[in-house]
Amino acid sequence: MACRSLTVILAVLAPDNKRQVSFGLSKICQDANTAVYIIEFVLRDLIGGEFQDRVRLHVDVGGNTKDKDAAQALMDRGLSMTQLQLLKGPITARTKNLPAGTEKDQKAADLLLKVPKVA
Amino acid sequence: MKSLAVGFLAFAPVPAAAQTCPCGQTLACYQTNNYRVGKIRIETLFAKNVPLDWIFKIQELLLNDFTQIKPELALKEGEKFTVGDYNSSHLKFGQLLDARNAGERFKLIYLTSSLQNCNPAALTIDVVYRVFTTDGLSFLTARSERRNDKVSRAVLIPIPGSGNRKLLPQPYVGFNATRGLFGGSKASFKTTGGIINQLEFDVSGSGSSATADVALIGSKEFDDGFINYTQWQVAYSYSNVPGDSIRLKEGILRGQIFGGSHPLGSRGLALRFGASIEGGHKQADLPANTITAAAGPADSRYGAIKAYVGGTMNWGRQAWRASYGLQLGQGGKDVRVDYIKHVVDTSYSARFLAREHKPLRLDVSGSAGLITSRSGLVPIGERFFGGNIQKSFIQGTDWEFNSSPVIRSFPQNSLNLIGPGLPIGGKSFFSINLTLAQTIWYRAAVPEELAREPDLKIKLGGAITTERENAKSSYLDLAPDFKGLVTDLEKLDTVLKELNATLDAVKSTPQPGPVMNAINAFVEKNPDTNIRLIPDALDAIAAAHADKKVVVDQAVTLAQDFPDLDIESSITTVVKTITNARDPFAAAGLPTSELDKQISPLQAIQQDMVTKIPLINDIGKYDANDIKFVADKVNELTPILAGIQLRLSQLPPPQDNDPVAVYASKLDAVSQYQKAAAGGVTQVNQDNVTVRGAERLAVGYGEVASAVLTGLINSIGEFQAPLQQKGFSAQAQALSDHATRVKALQNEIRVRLKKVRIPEIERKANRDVAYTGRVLDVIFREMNLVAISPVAMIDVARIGPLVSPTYDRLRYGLGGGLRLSLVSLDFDVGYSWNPRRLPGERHGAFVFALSVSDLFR
Repeated sequence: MACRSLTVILAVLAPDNKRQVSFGLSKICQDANTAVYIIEFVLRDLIGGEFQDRVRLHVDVGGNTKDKDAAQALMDRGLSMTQLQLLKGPITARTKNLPAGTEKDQKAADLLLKVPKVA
Repeated sequence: MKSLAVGFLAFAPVPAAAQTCPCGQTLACYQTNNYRVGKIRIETLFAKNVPLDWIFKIQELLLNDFTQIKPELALKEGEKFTVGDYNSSHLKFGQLLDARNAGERFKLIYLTSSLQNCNPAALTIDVVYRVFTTDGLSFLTARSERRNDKVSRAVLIPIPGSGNRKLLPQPYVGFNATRGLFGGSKASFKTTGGIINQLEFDVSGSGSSATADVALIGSKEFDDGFINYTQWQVAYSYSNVPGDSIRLKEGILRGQIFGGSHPLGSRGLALRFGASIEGGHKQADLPANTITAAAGPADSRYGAIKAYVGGTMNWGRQAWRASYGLQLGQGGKDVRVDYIKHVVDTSYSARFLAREHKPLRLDVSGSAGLITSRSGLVPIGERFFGGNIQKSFIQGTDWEFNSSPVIRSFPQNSLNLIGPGLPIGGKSFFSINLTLAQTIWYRAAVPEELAREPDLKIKLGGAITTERENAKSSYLDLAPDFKGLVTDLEKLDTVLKELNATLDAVKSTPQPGPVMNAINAFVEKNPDTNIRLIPDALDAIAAAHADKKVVVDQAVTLAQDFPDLDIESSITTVVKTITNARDPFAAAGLPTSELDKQISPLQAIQQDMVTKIPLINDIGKYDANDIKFVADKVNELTPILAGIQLRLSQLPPPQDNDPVAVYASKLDAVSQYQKAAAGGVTQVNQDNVTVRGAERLAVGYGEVASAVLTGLINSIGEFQAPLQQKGFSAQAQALSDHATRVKALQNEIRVRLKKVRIPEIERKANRDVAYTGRVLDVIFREMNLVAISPVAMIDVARIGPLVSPTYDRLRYGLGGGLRLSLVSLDFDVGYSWNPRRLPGERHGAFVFALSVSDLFR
């Protein structure tokens, strides 16, 4: 079966619409039968009437088959309430103090990788 | 500042490939054979189907954006193709699409990339990105109440947020038998904040008529409680419009307030109500021989108090609304009630979708009115004049509330004769209007092959599930333990502030370095965790205090440890930091009792919170017996799905340039659905809280994100022909048998799901998500960029009381025409005949109508 690269992004908006947490999953084909998964987390704040990226992190979950399965399952099944609470709670808390425009933060990226592992 | 760069991705080394490169999707082959990138293209939602693409600015914007994006992609036209560049370009494109605007209720982006137009001779390959985004489309769904000009503009230029701080002129032209050819413009200027946040005006004119409206508008929306929104305005309107032998003029200043409720009940009934006070002048120019003594003053002051109430309800593709208005009017110089006007108006709309994108649309409306007066002082301009234009009882709002007899075979204001030589309108009326439109030609908004894409359907189901879980978190305050959790947060706030005060007191005198380090650990950012311990904890509590929807999220951050994930809560870290401060404090001769005394209350609060959080989350928990009841049936799928997988594995892989062209895609579809179904069964067995896995499998979210099992059954059905063509009749039959068994089990799972007791919070979330499902269903299965529909029109109307039996008749309008629809904007052109003409009346009237259909409500 030919592998096809695809991205699905769904926004999770804060109720006050002043903060956006975007959770995206990409399946990236290495070859016809090989894919890696990328989890991307973006935190945006409403500044001057426009949403601006504060933090953008991505995690490559390509190395471990178990992680890949979890990422694939997350794409197909959606996030559970516990996963959402982890995302909107501790993970957001740990990223909001990162400097604006942050793209690499290993600690936060490690946390992000844990979302699919939570039941 | 927007961060657009993509971080480095460590893609795996590309394996060696064959020397010759069959034109398939084998990425490595193109790289190792030194292919170059031909064209880099984008296919959008609007790309293929739009003969009038100049109208749809979003298409233009996407293409313009893509022109700017292309140079930033790692892949370059004419340069060497590499797998790494191909993949990083895909990711970067996805990031660039993921910019969001205020006011969007949800946003979904689906992006795929593929290789096309492989040219082995020239060694070139094109890269094509296919994009689906709800950008703009979702903005249409943002509010149920909108100003008409905003809606129509949003339809044509669906750019979220484009209205803020910009003057948006919207010119228009029209023709009406009484006004002739007229033209004008609407415009609005919107800003945020303030009592007045919107200025709107609408002016139009022709050789024989003029109208003008100016309004200063303020509004407020409410997240909770009965009231959804309120709007207030001060407005002035002027009108000078003829009607055959008469001319009606008025100038009115009005102050107005109205509001609406949040949707109520399972059908989402929304109530609306309001009041206005109006004053001005009304004048009716009548033919010289008209007797007006019995009719009332033709030229008079005008004053009125109006009150109105109504409701709207939508279910599926049906909508109903009804309104009642009461007007107490002044017709003379004295301030008193000279007349009372009652108006009722109702309508019903339905779209029947027997075939996708070809709806049969039915619109029925009825209105009636009555004026009573003891003094007889009813300004002629206040009487009921009928014709092919509605007159709103509440001017200046988008509340559709007609207050005049509508009959399309009469030009505006021309249904006015109550007797020979008496074109003075009636004191009572009723009218009924029916419109039928059947779409016969269309260009779908979303390419139909995209709407059938298994990947999209499966992932869309996952995304909607996420939205449902997110919606559930909005209702966690219904849990009995929620208040206790809020109390815990208040206690925690007190303890942390006391701790902060203690640290401030110590800091107020010079302290040795180790002590300052220990204090800073509470208040400065920890480089390992990025957390400012106490300030961030207090911020989290403040956020929870301000918005109950985030209470549990913040409580999880503050109190819940995830030892398996190496995530530590704020409280645990505070307690550890207090413990760590003991030694440096003791070494400096400082007492630690003020710090230590907070440990016990902190731990007590934490214990209470971590007990309550799961109890609160459990408000959405299904009964364990119900979960097992459903899971037992779901597990019967396991051997069947294994059988399908086995059959698929026995089939040969598709060849490049396979003679049965659809073999690869159909095989891929069955395989994807089989995997998704197997994953769904696993999910059902892992989930001891909900039955959402079974719902995804057997029920789905409408036709767009349909049930996974439905997708599996359908994909097997569509795989039959390619299998037969390739000579795999036995495999086709075996798969078909499996599909039959899956279908039977799906029905049984549905039956069991119907018997399951659904928690209240789940019901509420389902209601919220049903809206999303409905919107997506419309976008994918119904919405057309352009459509043509023949229209049939039937009208019945009557005004009274009549002074001549000859005029005491029902009046009819029978007509036909054509509707051109651009997304949800409908232009109707036609002619309506007057089959029972009276002296002085026309044969009929042309119908030109511009309306916005409520596709997304």
